[in-house]
This record gives sequence, C-alpha cells and structure tokens, in this order.
Amino acid sequence: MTTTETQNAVHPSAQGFSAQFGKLAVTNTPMGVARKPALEAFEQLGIPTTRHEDWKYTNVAAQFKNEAQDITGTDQEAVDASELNLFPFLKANRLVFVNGLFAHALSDVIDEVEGLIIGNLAKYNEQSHLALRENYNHLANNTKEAFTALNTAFSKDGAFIYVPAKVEVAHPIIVVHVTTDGLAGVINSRGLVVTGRSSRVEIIESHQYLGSDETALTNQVLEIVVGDNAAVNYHKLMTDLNLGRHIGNLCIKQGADSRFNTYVINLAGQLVRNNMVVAIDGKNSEAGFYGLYSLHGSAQVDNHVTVNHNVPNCESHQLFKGLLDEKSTGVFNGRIYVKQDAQKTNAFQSNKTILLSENANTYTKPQLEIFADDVKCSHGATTGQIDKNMLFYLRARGLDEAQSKAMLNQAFAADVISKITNEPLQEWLLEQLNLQLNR
Amino acid sequence: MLSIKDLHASINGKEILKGFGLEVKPGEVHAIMGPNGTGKSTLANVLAGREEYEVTSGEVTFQGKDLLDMSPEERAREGVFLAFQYPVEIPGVSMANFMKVSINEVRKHKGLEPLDAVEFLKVMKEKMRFVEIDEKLMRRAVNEGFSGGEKKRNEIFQMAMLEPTLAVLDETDSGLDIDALRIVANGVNKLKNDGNAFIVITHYQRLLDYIVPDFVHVMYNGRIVKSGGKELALELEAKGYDWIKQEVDATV
Ligand SMILES: Nc1ncnc2c1ncn2[C@@H]1O[C@H](COP(=O)(O)OP(=O)(O)OP(=O)(O)O)[C@@H](O)[C@H]1O
Ligand SMILES: [Mg+2]
Repeated sequence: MTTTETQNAVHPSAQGFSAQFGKLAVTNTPMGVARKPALEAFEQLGIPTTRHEDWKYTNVAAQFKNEAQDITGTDQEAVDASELNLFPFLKANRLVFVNGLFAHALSDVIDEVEGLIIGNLAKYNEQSHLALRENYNHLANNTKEAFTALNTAFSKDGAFIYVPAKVEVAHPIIVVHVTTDGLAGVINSRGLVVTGRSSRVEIIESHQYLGSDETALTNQVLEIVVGDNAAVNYHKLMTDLNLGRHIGNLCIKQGADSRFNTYVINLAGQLVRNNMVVAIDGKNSEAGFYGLYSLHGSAQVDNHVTVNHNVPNCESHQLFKGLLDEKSTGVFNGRIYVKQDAQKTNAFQSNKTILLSENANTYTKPQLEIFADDVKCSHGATTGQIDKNMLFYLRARGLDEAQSKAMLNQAFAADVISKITNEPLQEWLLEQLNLQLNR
Repeated sequence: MLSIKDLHASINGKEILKGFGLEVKPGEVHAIMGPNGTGKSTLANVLAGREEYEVTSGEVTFQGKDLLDMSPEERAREGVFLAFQYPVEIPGVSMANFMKVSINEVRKHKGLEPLDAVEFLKVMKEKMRFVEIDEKLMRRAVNEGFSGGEKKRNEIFQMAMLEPTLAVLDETDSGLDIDALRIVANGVNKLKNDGNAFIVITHYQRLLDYIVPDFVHVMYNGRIVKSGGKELALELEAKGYDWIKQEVDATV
C-alpha cells in the first residue's frame, strides 16, 4: 500500500484521529498489535451518519464536529473519591478508571483467590496474560463497527477480569468509569471479562460524569466470554451521567449451560448508544437483556440488541422500558437471529414506552431472522400514555396528580429494576428512580 | 351533608344524568337501584370527580362546600369515598405502599400526624381483620390478579382504612358469595355512625337485608323517578322495573 492510496482512503471524519495515531506507542502486545489494523478499518468506515441504517435516529456525527480527537488518559489528577459514587452500601471489589486509565488509589480489591484477576488491562497486557492474549479483540467487530475500530486503535486501559474455572467471586466487582469536567474529545476505554467453566461473577459498572456541563464523549468496548456452566450478571448503570455522551459496544459469547444477564439502566445522560451483541454458542444457555431509560430534557438513549442463537435449546429475553418526558427520545432496535440448526429456541422481546409529553419520541424496530422451524419467538412493542383509569383510582384515594403519576411511572419502570437479583442494588436503584421521577 | 340539585352530566357529548337530585343527611343510608345503563355509575364517578364526565348544569354541595369545584384528591381528602364497580388493576404498585400514602394524605389534610411504618402496619392489620381480607393480598400489587370478590373486599378494606364521611358503594355486592356479602355488609354497619353517610348502589334487595337503608331510590334515565323506604326494594324485587318505566314514560 502506498502512502497516497492510504490517504485517499481515509474518510474525512476519521482524519483528525488518523493524524494523532502516529504519536501513539504501538507495542508488541495483544493491545498493541491490534491497533494499526483497527485504525485502518476506522479510516474506511468513518463516523456513521444518519444515512447509515443502524444510526438512523441517532445523529452521532454531529457530536464530532469539533471534537474529532482522542483524549484518553487526560487529566488524571483531577478526581477526589468524595466526588464519586462508589456504592458504599455494597461490600464489593472496586476498580476505578479516570478518563480511561486505571486509578489505583481509588480502587480496592477484596476477593483474593488463586488465579482470579480483578485488575486493569494495561498491566496484564504488558505481561501478555494468556487469557487476555487468547480473548482480547476476538469478539469485537472492528470491520463493521466504526466506534469499535476507533476504540481498538486508541484505548489504553480498562477492566480486566479473569475468573478461573469453578471460582465463584464472593463479592460484586464494581467498575467505575469517571469522566472529568470541561473536556472536549473522545475517551476510549476498553474492558475484557473472561470466565472459566462453572464460575460465577457479578459486575456492576457505573459511568459517572463529573460536572454538570457537557464534556468528553466516552467510547467503550467491553468483551465478555462466558464459560460453560458459568453465570455472569453484568449491570451498566448510567445514573450519574449528567449530560454525558456515551457509546458502548458490548460483545458477549456464551458457552454451554451458561447464564448471562445484562441490566442497562439510564436515568441520566444526554446521548447514549448501547450496542449489545451476544453469540450463544453453547447449548442449554440463557441470555437476558433488561433495559430501563427514564429521560427528560433533550436526552436520547438508543439501545441496539442482537441475540444470535447459534445452537439448539437456548433461551433469550429482551425487556426494554422507556419513560420519556419533555423532548427526550428513546430508540430500541432488537434483533433476534436463529440459525437453522438452533432448534427449540425460545426468544422473547418486548419494548414498552410511556410518553409523558407530546414532544417525546420513541422509535422501535424488531428484527426477527429465524431459520429454524421448531422455535418459540415473540416480540411486542407498545407505546402509550399513563393509564387514565389507574390515575383516577389513585387520585380517588387522595393522592395528588403528580404523586399518582410518579407512583405509576415508578411501577412501570420498577418492572425492569426488579429483575436485578442484587437486593441492595435493586433498592438503591428504585430510590434513584424515585428521586428522578419526583425531581 | 350532601346536596345534589338538578345535576346534568354527559360523556362524549351524550347526556347521562338528566336532572338528578338527592339530599343526604349524616347517619343516613340511601340505596339507589335501577336498570342497567341508567347512570348510577356515572353519578358515582361524577361525585368522585372523574374528569371525563362533563357536568353541564346543577350543583353538588358537600358539607357546605362546592364539591364540583374540587379535584378528585381533594374530595377524597375531604371524606368522599367511592368503592368502584370495577376496581382497576395496577401492576407494580404494592397495596401496602399505596394505602400508606393514601391514608397519610388524608390524615395530613385533617391536620393529623402521618402514621409511621409501625403504626400503619397496626392499623392495616386491624382493618384487614375487620373485612376478613387475606394478609397476603397486601403484599401484592393493587388488585392485580385479585378475584372478583377479593377486589370488592379490597374496596371495603380501603374504605375502612380511610373512614370517609360519605361513602358511595357502586355494586360492591355484585360477584360476592354469601359469606363475603355478609362480611362487606358487616363492615359497612360497623363503620356507620351518626356522622357519616352511605350511598349504596345495588341491583339486589339481598344486600339491603344486611345494610338496612333509610331510603330506597329508583333511578331511571339519568334521574331519580321514585323514592321510598326499604319496602320499595322488596316491591322492585317482586315486580321488576317495567311498572316504573311505564309510569315514567306515561308522564313524559
Ligand atoms: N365513555 C362513554 N362514552 C359513551 N357512553 C358512555 C360512556 N360511559 C358510559 N356511557 C353510557 O352511559 C350510560 C350510563 O352508564 P352507567 O355506567 O352510569 O350505568 P349504570 O346505571 O351504572 O349501569 P349498570 O347497572 O350496568 O352498572 C350507559 O348507556 C353507558 O353506555
Ligand atoms: Mg354501574
């Protein structure tokens, strides 16, 4: 490839990043060797516009007008523990990342088991840890997803969790991603979770934006490998996001007899896009995707879920609920793909929205591609207003209109939160939701 | 206590109440009977403040205040209670939580301290015994999956909790078995005192064996066309409504 050709191929929206790439230290490590090909893929793809079918309702390109630069790792000293929500009510392991780099002083690991790693990628990448080498960047789709490619080219750090076979991690692992105030640009952060056979782990990831103004956009890629007979619960909490802008790409691969659940809770955020793709590659497995977005202002949350049923006898659930107030927008795109030999698949999908204002918008699109014949599949989408009969019933018992609406909205949304099995976390989220609805 | 004068109300442009009038004094029980679709539930809903119904003329005073001027919640706090003919299911809202907010709103309005969790539980247990309602129902969502009878009993339970001044029972006896009917009636009788009043809408004279009314009114075509004592209910049971309809239609 000649220099001229490369330059010609670079998508205009990628040029700012391309120019920066030269300054990056590209080492001979799993993360290092993945960078160049990813950059090249990104240069081809460019930042998607709304002409791109998958980005039809989310104008992400507009966010990159003046900020087409990577700022991963900037401003490390700017954070004090008192500014963070470290979930003090939970006994847990804590990993904190500030602007995409590990913050050792803010982190705390309490579960120590032979072979168990609750740590950061940068460190284990240097050592070229076996599980990292064998799994890093294997699930991520760099050739199709522009933001994944961008992330692979530029990310420096993130959580690395390795749970050896038969290890049940006693306490949840809390991963806090902090973005500091007053930044312009993109922070790329990465994560890798590898769980061995018959292991068990619960991850609670929280994205926190400090300050109340717009700041950097975060671009995250997380790969999760669920071993045979393993159980993984992953929570992505965007309750402290303020006006944050975030793009997440979550890629999961499940072995046989495994359980994987993800809970995506958005009670804040200005612009959030979550891509979630699971490959169910082992029989008798279950995958659950539960999402709640309660929005106001001009916030927008866009959830894209793809469930790939590649083998027989598996079950998947998708339940996404939106409460949209003021000028907010909710987008849900749920794809269920059932391979020809994935017989006896049960796949369910539901998206329910309540529009609390005339100016709120919701877009929902189910996509079912089913090639097996012995399959139970259902999908449904409803959009409505608060039920008048319910509202009147509550008011007829002395609750005022605002109280009644908050109670009904809480009930609607709590349906998702109640799927969370960690009870203190569930309670805390219900409280946050209550605060948000009664704001 | 309650004075309804020449009340006209419509829904979706269709007039349902056509000059309804009724005077209720403290300590009284009024029964309202009448054929299906004559506007009994409409009256109940208008009294409770349902906004879909448009009151086109007439007045309603409750304890000297203009009832029609109040929001549904103000009416409830002032002591008006409607036991719904069709109680709605509200998934996700727990009975206990709902009742706690409800009773404390009513107490606040009366200038009373809110009940704390312990006090509330005590009151709730006592009232549950009162209507012999299963404690398990309180841990469930409001009316969700309740049987028809359980829903009706739940209405009486809520009435017992809120101790209203004026209770309107809209066919609370429908769908109840004999035991439940007795329990509901006992509930009403125990709550009854010189200071409160009941309007009992029913199709069956059977209920009136238990809750003895001071007055029985027949409603037809949006207004009261005949009033009498409790023996009127027996007469209706024996003769049906046709003779009343004929009487009314003849005078028009
Ligand atoms: N939303 C509505 N739109 C149009 N008509 C309505 C509406 N709601 C009620 N009605 C009509 O108003 C009339 C009175 O209804 P209502 O429920 O008050 O009768 P009711 O006396 O309580 O009857 P029942 O004994 O069957 O309970 C009926 O003809 C009914 O169809
Ligand atoms: Mg009726």
